Amino acid sequence: MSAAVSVENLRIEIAATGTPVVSDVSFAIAPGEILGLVGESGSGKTTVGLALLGHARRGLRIAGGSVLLGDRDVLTQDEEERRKLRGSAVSYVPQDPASSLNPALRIGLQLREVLDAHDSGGARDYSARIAEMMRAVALPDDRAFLKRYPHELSGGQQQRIGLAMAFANRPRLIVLDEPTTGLDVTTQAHVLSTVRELAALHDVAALYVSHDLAVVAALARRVAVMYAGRVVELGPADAMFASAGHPYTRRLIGAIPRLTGGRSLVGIPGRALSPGKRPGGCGFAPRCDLRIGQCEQEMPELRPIDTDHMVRCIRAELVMTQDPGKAGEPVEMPAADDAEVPALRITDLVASYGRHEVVHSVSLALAAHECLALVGESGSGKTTIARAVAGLHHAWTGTIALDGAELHPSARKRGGDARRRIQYIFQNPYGSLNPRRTVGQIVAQPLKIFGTAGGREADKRVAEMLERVSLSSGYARRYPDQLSGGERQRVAIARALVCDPTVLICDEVTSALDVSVQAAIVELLGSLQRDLGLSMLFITHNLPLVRSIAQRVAVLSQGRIVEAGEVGQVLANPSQPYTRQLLSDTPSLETAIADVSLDEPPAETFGK
Amino acid sequence: MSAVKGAGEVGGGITAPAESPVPFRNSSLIFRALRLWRTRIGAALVGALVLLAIIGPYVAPYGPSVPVGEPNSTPGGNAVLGTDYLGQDVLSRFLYGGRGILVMAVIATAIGLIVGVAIGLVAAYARNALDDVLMRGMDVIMAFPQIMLALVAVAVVGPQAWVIVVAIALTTVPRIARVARGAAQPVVERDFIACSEAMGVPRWRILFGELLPNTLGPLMVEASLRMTYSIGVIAALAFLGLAPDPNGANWGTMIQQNQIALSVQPWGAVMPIIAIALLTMGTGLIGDGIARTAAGIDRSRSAE
Amino acid sequence: MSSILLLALAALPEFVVAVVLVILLATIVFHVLPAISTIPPGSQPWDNIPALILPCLTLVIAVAPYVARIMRASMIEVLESDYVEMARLKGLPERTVLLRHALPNALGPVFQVIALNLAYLAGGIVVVEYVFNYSGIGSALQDAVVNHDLPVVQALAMLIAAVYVVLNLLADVATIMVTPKLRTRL
Repeated sequence: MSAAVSVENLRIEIAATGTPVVSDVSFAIAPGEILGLVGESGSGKTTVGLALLGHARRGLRIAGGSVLLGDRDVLTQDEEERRKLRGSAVSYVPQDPASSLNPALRIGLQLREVLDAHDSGGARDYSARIAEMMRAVALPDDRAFLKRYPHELSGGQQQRIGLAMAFANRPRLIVLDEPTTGLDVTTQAHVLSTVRELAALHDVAALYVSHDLAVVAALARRVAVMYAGRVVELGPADAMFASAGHPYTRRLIGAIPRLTGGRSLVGIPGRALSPGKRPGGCGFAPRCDLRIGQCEQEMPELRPIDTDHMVRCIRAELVMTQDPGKAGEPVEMPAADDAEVPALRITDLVASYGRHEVVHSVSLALAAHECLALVGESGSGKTTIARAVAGLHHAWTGTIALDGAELHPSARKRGGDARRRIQYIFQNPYGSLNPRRTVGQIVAQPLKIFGTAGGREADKRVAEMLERVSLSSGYARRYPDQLSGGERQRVAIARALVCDPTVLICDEVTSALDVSVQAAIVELLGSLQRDLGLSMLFITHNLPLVRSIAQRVAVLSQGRIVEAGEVGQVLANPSQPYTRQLLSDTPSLETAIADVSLDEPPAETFGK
Repeated sequence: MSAVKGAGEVGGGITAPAESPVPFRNSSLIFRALRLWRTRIGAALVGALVLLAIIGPYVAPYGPSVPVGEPNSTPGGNAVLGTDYLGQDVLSRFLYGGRGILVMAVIATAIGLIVGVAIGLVAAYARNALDDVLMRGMDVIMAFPQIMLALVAVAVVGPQAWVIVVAIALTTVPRIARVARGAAQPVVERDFIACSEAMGVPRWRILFGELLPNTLGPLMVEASLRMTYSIGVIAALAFLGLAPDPNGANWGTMIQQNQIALSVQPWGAVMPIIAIALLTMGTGLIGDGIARTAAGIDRSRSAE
Repeated sequence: MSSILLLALAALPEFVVAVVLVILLATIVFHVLPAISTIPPGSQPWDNIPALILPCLTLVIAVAPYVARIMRASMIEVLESDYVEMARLKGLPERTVLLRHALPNALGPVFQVIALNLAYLAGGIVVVEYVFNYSGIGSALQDAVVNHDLPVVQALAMLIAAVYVVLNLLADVATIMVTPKLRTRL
């Protein structure tokens, strides 16, 4: 039985300049198999995924290589031939279902047209097929549902429509591009299981593109890791996660939060370089602590180090014998100080949006020098609580007390001292910094507003703060659009800490960041919190992350606290069904690897 | 410049979401816009005509109302471009004729811009009943075409310069307010504004220190558009005989006065027509150049 | 290059266009059309079609470029959207992508611009009426103001404002029809 798809030496470049974006990518997928394609932003993984459909985004051009579907090379076909293949022989499930469905057309029509476009038989009545497709993705199959518009569906439902459209014509290959980004953990779990079932049922090969290793581990038997436009490792998931051969893969795994053990996370210093700025020789060399002279001179070949396990590193054997290092060690958490007045006490908080009550009588205490994690899915009210504490959300009743002193709902009406002592870090690094100000001005702003320091003194403190967050003082003259997401979050942290606050509220501060960057930021926050004795309210939907930074955790569901307690306690022995469900739905490396090795191996494995 | 990514978007973060309007540092916006041919042509046209209007009176061979020959005579003798319907020198009148229009247009647009931006930003930031009240007020003014309001004002009060300026400024305000509000609304939603609010920065400071600088792109485009219209309306009013000085040199009045003699002596009407046409085309091109540059920046930021 | 032409035409004041057209087609260059479009009292405008051609042509040149530009800009934006890319990745024929997926979503802003321009035509074209000696609403309003004929001024002002309101309403309705997302808020 031959491979469903076989990619050889794929090369994609920027159309205008010829700069390579993706080079030398080769892999094969068997029918019914799911191959995970992992990489962080800028690695080129989405570009590769699209190339399997013979499509390149604006400004890019597929310059070489072949994509064999069966015996036909997609890349040599003309446009009309490719159009016929798309949706029928190979289909695509996009990342953002909300923007990929046409807002002006009913979903029934959008489903039907993918059948219609590829139906040579000319059959007009697709109702039966459509009903069947809907049942396959666990959606209602009645006509009323099909008459809805995309905005009348939830995110999970929209994504299932996307899956239905992709599987409709029984393709040989499906490319899934991070299809669960932005979905709740529970919905994500459902979508993933649907993908697994359908792929197995129809013997469809699947390429699952993702930056989330935990998810990929749960789904794929084989994984390819991409860095700087090349495949750096390709092999069976369990072997790779147990002991990776490439330094990058190893560090990536070390950066993933775990559910068990108080693990510190280790990020990867430096950042990936954009096409055109990549060095000669191994792309990862500048950031690799195992590099030697030869690494920088020539690009290593992708070579086998084991059956079906290939690595692009000349020191792969050495890498595999390395011990994980700092990653995995328990974190030293100071004991929370219960004797003092709690830094923050929330009593009977009831918050609403308009007439809609979203937080129902929540009570919390944040002890001095403690980090409390607030965990919940979207809509649970965690951000509302955070914003109420900061004075950004005004429609609430109850009391919020800072060091015993009650706070006014609106930040403007609070005293300068109260405003200074509560600082907030936002989720979106691209929106939280004023694009028209330099980094130095941004970090100095609180000093000016609260009158803490001025002139030379202010400059000094800004420089100190930047050093503290591991940004050289030269950053002060740059503008935000010259910084990466991780660097921007560091600036946001510097800004928040420059005035010696007491309480730091971190609102999903790593959700928009790559895994390795997330690790670095979480470690930074953790060490700052411990060194400065801050009380921190850490809001996230990512349960395993909590382990690495917080001492206590409170689980929120639909505006109520469901469970609260010590992190180790809650994660190991959850007492509430909601918490248990949340834990079991969260993909994690440990459980995924255990699952994978229990499944039956496929009929034949393919490698190169 | 790479068409795919800016420096800050690779590695260490998910690609920046497409945000609109994403402002660039505003000096760079103008300079980048000047890289486009259309902006350069526009700027050249406007520059040349403004220069002409300002310097004209100093280099004109005769005064604007000095008879130099037979009415409607063709070029030759004293008059390089011939004479108009009263025997005045066409060239001199042409050189004197731009100032009035330009000065009034600039002042009117400037006033409209200042007031309109203030109203638009306040409305966008308020996000509540104040927003609705302000915008409905603007809608009332906008229901009437600019020239109609100016005509009524002039007919009631008289064709004085200040009346024209006020009328045009008044009708420019709502149109700019609407654009300013539209540009400011997405910015108001962004976290750095919330951050300043949480720190207690006074409202006016947020409006003009943080909101305004981030809406300059669309505002510059709209300002050039409004300039184009202001020039058009003022010239049209002059054409209708409603200039502050009906006998003074004014491009609009010149067209009206000399159109009858077109078959005999075209220059009296053709020169001012060309001047007005080039001026308005110039401002239009500049505005379009800026708009395209801003859109191009958006696109390259959200590519991939 | 066509967009620069459109741009230039849009920027020109209407009376310049009117005068140039008169020069070109009626008085100096060619003599095919009448330069004046007076309507004798009691007769209908469409009784003298040749006299209507130049004024209408002027107005088309004044208004059409805006609609063309917004349509183009809107279409470009829609063609770069995720759902159009998805439609192509589903393997739909390009014609279907353009007509069924792109066009309806591009029309929204266009309706607004059309309404604004039509409203402008009702009262804002005084100068064109003057050039062609056509008795329209703008001229009537101006005469009434000069003669201090208050009832007529009031009536005409209400008429112009009413036209603006109705046109904006129609534009909003049309936008809602092509944007299903707005319908559910009703």
